[in-house]
Amino acid sequence: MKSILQDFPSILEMKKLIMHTSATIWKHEITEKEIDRWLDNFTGEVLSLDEEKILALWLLSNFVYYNEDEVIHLCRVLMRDFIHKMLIDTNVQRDEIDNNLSRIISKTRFLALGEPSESGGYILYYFRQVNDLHISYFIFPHKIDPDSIDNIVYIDDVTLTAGPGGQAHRKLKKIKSKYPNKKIILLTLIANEDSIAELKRIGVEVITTITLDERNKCFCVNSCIFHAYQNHIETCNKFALHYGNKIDSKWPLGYEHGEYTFGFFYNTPDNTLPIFWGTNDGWSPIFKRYDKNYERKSLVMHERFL
Amino acid sequence: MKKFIYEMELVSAEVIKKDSFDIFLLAGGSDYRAYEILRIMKSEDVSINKILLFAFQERIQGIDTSDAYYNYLKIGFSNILPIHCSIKEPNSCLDGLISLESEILTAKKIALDISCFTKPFFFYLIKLFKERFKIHRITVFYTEPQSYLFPRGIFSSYRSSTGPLTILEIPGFTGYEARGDKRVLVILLGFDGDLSKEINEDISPSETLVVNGFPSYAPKFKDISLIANEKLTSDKDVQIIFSKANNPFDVFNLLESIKNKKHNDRPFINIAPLGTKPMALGVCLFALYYPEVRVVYPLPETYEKITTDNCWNSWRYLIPLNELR
Amino acid sequence: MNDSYRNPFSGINAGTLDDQAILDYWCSPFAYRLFSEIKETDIYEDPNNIVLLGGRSTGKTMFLRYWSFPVQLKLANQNKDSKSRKIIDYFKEKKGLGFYIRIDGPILRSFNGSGIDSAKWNSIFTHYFELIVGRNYIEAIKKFYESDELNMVEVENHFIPEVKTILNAPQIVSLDELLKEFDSRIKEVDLFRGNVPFFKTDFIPSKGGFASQSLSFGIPKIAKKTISEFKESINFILLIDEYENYLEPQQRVINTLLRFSKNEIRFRIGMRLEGFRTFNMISEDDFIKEGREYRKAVFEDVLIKSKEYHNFLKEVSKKRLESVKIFKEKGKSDITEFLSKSEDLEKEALELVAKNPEKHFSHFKKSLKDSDIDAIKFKENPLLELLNILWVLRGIPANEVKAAMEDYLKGNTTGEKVKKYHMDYVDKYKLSLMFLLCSIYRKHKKYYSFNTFSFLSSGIVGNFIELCRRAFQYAEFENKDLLIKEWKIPKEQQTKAALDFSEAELQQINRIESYGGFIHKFINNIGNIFRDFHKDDKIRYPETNQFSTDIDNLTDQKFTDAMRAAIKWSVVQKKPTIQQPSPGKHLKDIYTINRIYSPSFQISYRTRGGYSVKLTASDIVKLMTEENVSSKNYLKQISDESENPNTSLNLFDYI
Repeated sequence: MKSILQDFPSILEMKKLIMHTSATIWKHEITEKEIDRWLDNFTGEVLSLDEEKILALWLLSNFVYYNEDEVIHLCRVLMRDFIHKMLIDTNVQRDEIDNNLSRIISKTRFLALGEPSESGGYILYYFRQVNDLHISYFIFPHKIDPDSIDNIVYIDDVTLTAGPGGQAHRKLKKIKSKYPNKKIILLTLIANEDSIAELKRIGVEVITTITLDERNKCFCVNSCIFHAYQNHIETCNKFALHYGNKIDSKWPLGYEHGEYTFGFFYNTPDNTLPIFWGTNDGWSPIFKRYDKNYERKSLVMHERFL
Repeated sequence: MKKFIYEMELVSAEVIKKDSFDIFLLAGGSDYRAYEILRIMKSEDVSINKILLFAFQERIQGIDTSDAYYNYLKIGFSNILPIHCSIKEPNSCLDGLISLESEILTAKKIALDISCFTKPFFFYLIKLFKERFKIHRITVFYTEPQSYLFPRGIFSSYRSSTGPLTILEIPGFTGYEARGDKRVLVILLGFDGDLSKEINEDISPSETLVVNGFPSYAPKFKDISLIANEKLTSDKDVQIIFSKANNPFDVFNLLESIKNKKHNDRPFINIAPLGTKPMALGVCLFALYYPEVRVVYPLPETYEKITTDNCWNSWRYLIPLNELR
Repeated sequence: MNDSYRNPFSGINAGTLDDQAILDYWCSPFAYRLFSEIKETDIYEDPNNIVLLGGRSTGKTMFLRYWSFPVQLKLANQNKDSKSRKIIDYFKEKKGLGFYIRIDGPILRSFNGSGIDSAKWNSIFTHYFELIVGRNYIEAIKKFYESDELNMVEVENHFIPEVKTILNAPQIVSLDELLKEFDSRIKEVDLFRGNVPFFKTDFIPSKGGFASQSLSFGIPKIAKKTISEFKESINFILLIDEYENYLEPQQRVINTLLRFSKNEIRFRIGMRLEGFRTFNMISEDDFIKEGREYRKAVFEDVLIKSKEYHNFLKEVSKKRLESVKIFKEKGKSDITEFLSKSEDLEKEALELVAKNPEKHFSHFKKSLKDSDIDAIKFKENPLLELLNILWVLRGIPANEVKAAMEDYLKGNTTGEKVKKYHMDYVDKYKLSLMFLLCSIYRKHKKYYSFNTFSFLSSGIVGNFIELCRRAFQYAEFENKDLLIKEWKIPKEQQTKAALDFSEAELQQINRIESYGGFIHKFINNIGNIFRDFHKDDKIRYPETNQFSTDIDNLTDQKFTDAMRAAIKWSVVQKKPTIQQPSPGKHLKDIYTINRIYSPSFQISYRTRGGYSVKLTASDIVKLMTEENVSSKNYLKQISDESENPNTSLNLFDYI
């Protein structure tokens, strides 16, 4: 079996790949300085320094970053998929499409999943803009009027937690029980198969632009990332676990054992490997995560003049 | 504008067992997914009257019967008729198909699995069915690969072919150009970076639009096509637009919106479908609907024998040919 | 500040530029005296046809488009100093109107196959070509007409009626309708090309077909006869681009036009080297000949051999840098500031040896006495140390070497020894010493500086631009602050760019039609041979990177064709004039490999004009067909030759 140093592309080759990725997709947000700073996190505690650098760079070169243009496009795709589904579900004939479109939309309201200031609301803004939808179609939950609407559509960016532990499950189950005769739909940019199935079970239809499956879990046997390097999955798993534990000992490979390697221009989800986004104990992230403040309610301002 | 509700489904046992076909066309190949749809159909007892297997001389040359190419013999269909032809000349199959003209003309349900056809070839077939055989609709199948083969995992090293490239108009899709008009080139990006460069130089358009397949089959694929074509995509003046990698109707809509936006300029639109086959299918439909559009494609000296690994999702598209001019 | 930066060398391909952009980016090669064969006035006035030969990205398209009517019209309007002066007077002064004709490869290749024989396709192509050219003429005349530059009566009562007679289109009354008629006939051909793969039909043009010359010569004749503004000496110049894409039967059609071109109709044809597929005409037993039907100007040739090429590149770079806001605002438009003007080999050598300054002495320890080593050390300059080692190995006593070095360092120029020392170091061996040092220290040579990039580009402007693009890309990624605040790109980033591009170009060789495989093997083998020459620790033949051979005497035609294809694609470049393969040898054709491959093989980017590796016919075959050919036999040529390190004079192309 070849060693990591023999098998994987060289550091130079991977940096070149990342340079091109940064130029074309990451909008030059990541430079070599930031990469080197991030690589300094890995101090040879699991493997040799060079081997750890190579594995880290390999994971980085496989990271999927969704820039603003791409997120906007996904919002557009969501709307079109929603319309397509509604036309099929309502068995519309071809010459009735336009009339039915108007009817469908007039009976639909869009809401952000989650609290105000969470990412669902952020996505909702883009969704409205790119699809040129009238502002009256966007409401808060307390404004749901069951007499005038048929379709209650929630919007979010990431739905990866199946089961009652997940935010989507909790909130949508409540809504479904409150409005059992209404269509409850979740439009989400990214979801995994388990979440989709679980939500379907409770009566919520999910429309997603990107469905993640086992290929997208970094250390799964069918992993895309290690397709050419199956022999090294275990070693890399150990590597990511070790450093992940320094950042988040509860979920060292991402929330709910996510093992994902993606992020958005506005934030990195915690299902992604923490080695990318962690900041604990002096860890330098490469794709920063802006965590939600669930603890401190008091406001601390550090400026002298207010 | 006439509107349609497109039909596109993920192939599953439930979906496919409702099908039956008079004629099923597919390309012989050594890729595992060449016969995936046939396998599924056999397992669900789907009735097919005749299977036309396009046997490209370039793929048969130099292989023996143990090659995966011949796996179709093990599936269990006995009504497979090979159509001998050449990958490089789509109209080499014309005589073989003309001899079956009466069967084709009376067929009510025709299916085409594009998974292992080259794009110029299935473009030709679809136009032939529409223009010559006056077929009203066909069911098109496509199977995604589980993964593409990148030497040493380096995305930019992917090559779909070796040897020299010749940029050709896909037969039947020459479009027509009024010489004073601006030229626009729409490139649907693929993983092989050499191709877009060659085409851009050969066509020399006054404007290049780049379409990236996104959402893609797998999340990282949307980056790979951009990285492989970085010379084109890192230019800030080149506009990158997106279309779903597995939905030909989305591509059709996008191309139509481009055409409408540029209506006043009356440009001569050239399209290079270097991306996924479903996207290319969308281009094919668009070019049939708007015959003034030209479709260009790089013909290599030699296609790589295997460029993908295994199978993933299979899709079924219902293509309404009679709605197209 | 960040938002105003973009890579100044990305995008911008001459084919995609609009007319204004052609003007904006135009750098006149005549201003730099890059052409010896042609002068500016020849473009419109020379009665000979001119063929412009050059590889991809040498600037042919930019050149041809500049002289075309739409671009010149824009220029005329910009330079118009008086409202009373007519634009047509500008063209009369120039004595010509240029018509840019580019039929892309896919269209040209479609006139083939589908069960139609070659002769029929040729007629259809001829008809099509005549229509394309004719349309071009009408478009230009229409522009003049609409600007009131032409006599309305002459156009409407004489010109249009005569043209519509040729077209057999009696209903036409205006130039607009004429254009539409041309468009409709061109569309007829396009529709036929689109349908013929499905329905085997004949092409029958609705209003008759056009034979060769009927419109391409016919319309200028009518214009001159009927429109007074054209009666005087305005020549019609057909600027045909990418001639290498024309299929052989199509080239025969155009070759025939070259033969029969009238005085007022001239051709300027742009094509790749070896772009002629045939010199035959339509009639098989006749052919065109250089000097008779045309004369040629070689783009790469002029660019390689001219000292002004570097200045030309600076001008090209200046325009690109000025197009980026941050550089324009800060007045940073000199590329030499970013790349540095030339290499600093002494500094490079010091950095190389820093961790182990004795290694080059250890390398030669078997041949040197300790006392000699002590005498010839000079830690401030490892290159001088290496030269000193060479001198000692060549039999010069160490104390004399030391004395010569000390004299040289003091600037003392009297004395034979110091003069020789100076010549050896400065003129002959410095770069070779650097390569040898790199070889000893097992490190790559760095490729950086404007001078180096100019050489690496091998006379191909596009290559220079791509080298810069990659260098700026690395700079942006690795240290943007240095780039946009100190206006510097470190040599390490430049080297990465050079290596990257070199490797990419090597890979591209495989894509050459028909012979890519042969040529790729050949380049790999000869490149490795050159590399071994560079590693010769006696530097017997410094910077050897050229070879001599007789292409026409290869036994198998396919290898001759492969070599010609290599030349056509600028993979191999023929040196401009026949030279001695080595001093004292018979005259032969000398070739270099494109210098862009130098970083891949770690060889010099210059050509000294000294020793050339001699390749026989069987050598060529071996190098084209075998992998990893050993360089032993070729290195043996060195020891077989009489060793005379002093044979080569100052034979640099230019620095």
